[in-house]
Amino acid sequence: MTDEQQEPSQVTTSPALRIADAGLAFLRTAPNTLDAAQSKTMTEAAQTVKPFLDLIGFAKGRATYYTDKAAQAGVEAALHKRLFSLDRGLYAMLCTLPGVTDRSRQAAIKTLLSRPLGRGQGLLSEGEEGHLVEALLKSMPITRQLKFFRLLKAERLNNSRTRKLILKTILRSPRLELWSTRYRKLLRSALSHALGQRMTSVLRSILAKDEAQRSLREQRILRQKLGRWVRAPQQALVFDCVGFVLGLEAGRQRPLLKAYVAAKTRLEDGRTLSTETLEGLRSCYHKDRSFKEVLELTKSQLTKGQSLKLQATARAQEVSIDFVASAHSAVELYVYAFKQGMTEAISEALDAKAKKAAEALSLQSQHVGVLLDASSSMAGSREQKLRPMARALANRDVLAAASERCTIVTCGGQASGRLHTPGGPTALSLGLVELLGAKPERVFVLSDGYENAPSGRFMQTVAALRRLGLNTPIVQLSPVFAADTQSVRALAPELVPALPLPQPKALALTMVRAQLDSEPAEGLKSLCQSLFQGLLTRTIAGTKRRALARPLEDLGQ
Amino acid sequence: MKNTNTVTIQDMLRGCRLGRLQSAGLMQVIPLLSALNDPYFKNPSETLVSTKGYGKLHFENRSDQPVLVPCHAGYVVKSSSQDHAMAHAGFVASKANGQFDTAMCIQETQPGLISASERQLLILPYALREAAFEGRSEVKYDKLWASIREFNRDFGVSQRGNLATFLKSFERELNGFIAEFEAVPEQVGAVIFIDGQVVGVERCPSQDYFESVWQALIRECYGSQALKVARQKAQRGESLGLKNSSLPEDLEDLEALKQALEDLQSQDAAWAREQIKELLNEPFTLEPEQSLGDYQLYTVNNRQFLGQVVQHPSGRMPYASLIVRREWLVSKAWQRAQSFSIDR
Repeated sequence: MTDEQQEPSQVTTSPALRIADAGLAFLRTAPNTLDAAQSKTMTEAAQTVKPFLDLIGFAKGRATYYTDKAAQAGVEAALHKRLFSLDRGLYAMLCTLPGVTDRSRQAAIKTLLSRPLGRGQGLLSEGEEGHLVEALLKSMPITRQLKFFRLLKAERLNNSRTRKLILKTILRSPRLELWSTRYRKLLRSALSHALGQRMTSVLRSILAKDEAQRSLREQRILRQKLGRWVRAPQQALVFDCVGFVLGLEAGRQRPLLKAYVAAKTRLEDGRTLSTETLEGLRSCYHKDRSFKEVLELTKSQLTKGQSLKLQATARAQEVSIDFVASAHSAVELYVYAFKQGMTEAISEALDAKAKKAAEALSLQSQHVGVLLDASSSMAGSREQKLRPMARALANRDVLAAASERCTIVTCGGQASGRLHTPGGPTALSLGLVELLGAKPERVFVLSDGYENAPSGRFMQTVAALRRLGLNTPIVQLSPVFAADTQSVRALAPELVPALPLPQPKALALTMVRAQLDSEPAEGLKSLCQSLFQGLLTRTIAGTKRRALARPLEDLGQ
Repeated sequence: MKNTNTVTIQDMLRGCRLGRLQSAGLMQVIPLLSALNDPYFKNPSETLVSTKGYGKLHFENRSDQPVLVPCHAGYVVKSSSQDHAMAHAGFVASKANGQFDTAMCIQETQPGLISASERQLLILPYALREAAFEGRSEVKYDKLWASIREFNRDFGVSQRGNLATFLKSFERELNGFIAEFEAVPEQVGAVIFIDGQVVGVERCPSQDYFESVWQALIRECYGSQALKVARQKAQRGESLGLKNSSLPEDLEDLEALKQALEDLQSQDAAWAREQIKELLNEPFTLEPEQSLGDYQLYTVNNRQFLGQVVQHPSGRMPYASLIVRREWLVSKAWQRAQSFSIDR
């Protein structure tokens, strides 16, 4: 047993935060009001939930403009531990919120798998938690899922829940054949971890034989270890793909597996493979051929993400690749537009995405003011070039689409249509006063919080506004999460709440987060109930696992 | 042989105009803007930097343009090699190598030579630059160790001559300066103030060149000095912020607030102009150091400043890096001190 795999009774929780023996189970009955004790407990719990919400919308493990990787990792681990200790069910559910980063979801899955289930489980039952873990995993791209399995292997996390999760994810996938050619090594690593080295070797030996030559015992082993995870009609496919993944190339039946083997001899036979797979084969077996030929052969197989990333390469190689703007997030599209230029297709996609994300906000009857900081620090670090500005612009669009009327004032930078390239000093005070002259009902300040014209003037200005009796609610949304403050850098601490600025589809999460500031107990109750009833009711009703993924799509995932 | 000509800051800043004052904590920066770019010189970011012996910094310039190595450029490397810095600025001709045997080791306890590679630039902390200037002609690799030891002691870190110790211990604080003082469009230089006192004037040949050196200047060079002054003030129990002008308390409406903000902005601009005006006309003597093509590198000094400039025969000066002498700052502190009174 590792240090992390403690018996339930040894998991320490603060008495102030532990919600009696029933955990948060009272929320399952959807109470309309909280009694005094419940309200007090929820208010305390909100203090743990708030920094966790700030983290999970941001954490990517990269150094930021301001803090290094190690500092970031330490803060993340501490916040995960605190919320898990509060209630593991709430912890799991919060990670299903739209806009939560894959890194945060991975950390949550690892924590949940490594801690044994038991009494005092929390808001969710064992089964509910199991379904949720699968949904969290499936919300990530397959490469992330497989690399996550590799991480579990490195950390020797190999309990029965982990093994089950890995085998179900891989063997039940309708894309197993494609994955086998694309992610062969990662799949082999994951399967050997889940099945064990010895059993993997046994299975390889059995799969190397023709079906007719396998003994009854060998057939039983195949069914028990591999076949049991899928329906009978799928078993042959699973055996074929697993055999390939384990290095058996002769005698493959599936078209993509055959194409892979054939392409080693003749490059053109690999045209149904993915670009990177065929490129890998070209670089090993057809060194005299060019990448351009690979691109021409496989361009119809490119994923949407690849088509975006390869646009510049394709242009340089004079190969034309279709680019589907609507398949990418608004932030990705803005980052792309900064580098390659804004097009009508991108602009239309941005409008559509903003409109969709705006549906989750409740600003429709309001006049909203947006103060956009376009100073140089919004350009971001070398690792995240222009991403903070892209995030701010995408959220600007959502706020504009969500409100009846939107007044936008931009400070600094250089505008080119809807693009705004950051540059120059941060002088937000006059911008704020100009914005308030238009009399918005609430103001959102999109800024990383670094001010130098001079520092502190924004806070002085807000204090002066309050003295004038101008109490327009102002919220600062920052596209940068700083490890040193475990949150964001505030322009006017105690006068203007400062929250992380998430992906646009998760702006509603930020609104929830804002409510936790103003009404912690009620805000947390509403959040828990909404998560629990909206997501898990369908699971409790016995729908398939895929139905659990659907709520994430509904939320704009 | 000394050149008997003199120059002034007004000459050095020809073609520049003042940008908007930036102020955060104890530091203030007045950007120097210019539409003029002298594209002759490149920055050393793509040069291969190495050491060919202790105290021998070597630059391999693979580009078609000559490189101007900025004054007190330093290189702190992750590998087990001794960090080094220049004792002055230097030219490296195009498609050529340049070696400076007057360079200094800035890592007392680490042996090993730096292998040739593109390296991230730093500029020596302000507090070390005067000592570096004074020993600039000396061929002695350990000439800065005593100063680095004293510098580290002032910050309460190791007492060895390893600059990297300070940089690692105060990494987070130093990074903050990069975010707080952003380069603005057309910026080619800056006048830097700490605790209301000018401490440096920097001017670069072009906007690109400036952007390539600004982080090193604002972070290691002047940022370190801001941290030092903050520590001293904290030890004396003094307030750490500058007295920025405040908004009046008796404003009547939004229009009045807007006017008040604009007035403060004008006051900031007037203050900036006043500070620069005081610096403009004091003459500097010039001491020639190195030439490349038509350009000449000089060491310049007057009572207040010490530094280096690059001059073209036409009179234009595309590069200047000046620091205020420690003695000047000390005497200014005496002048600013309150008169004696038995009532205090």
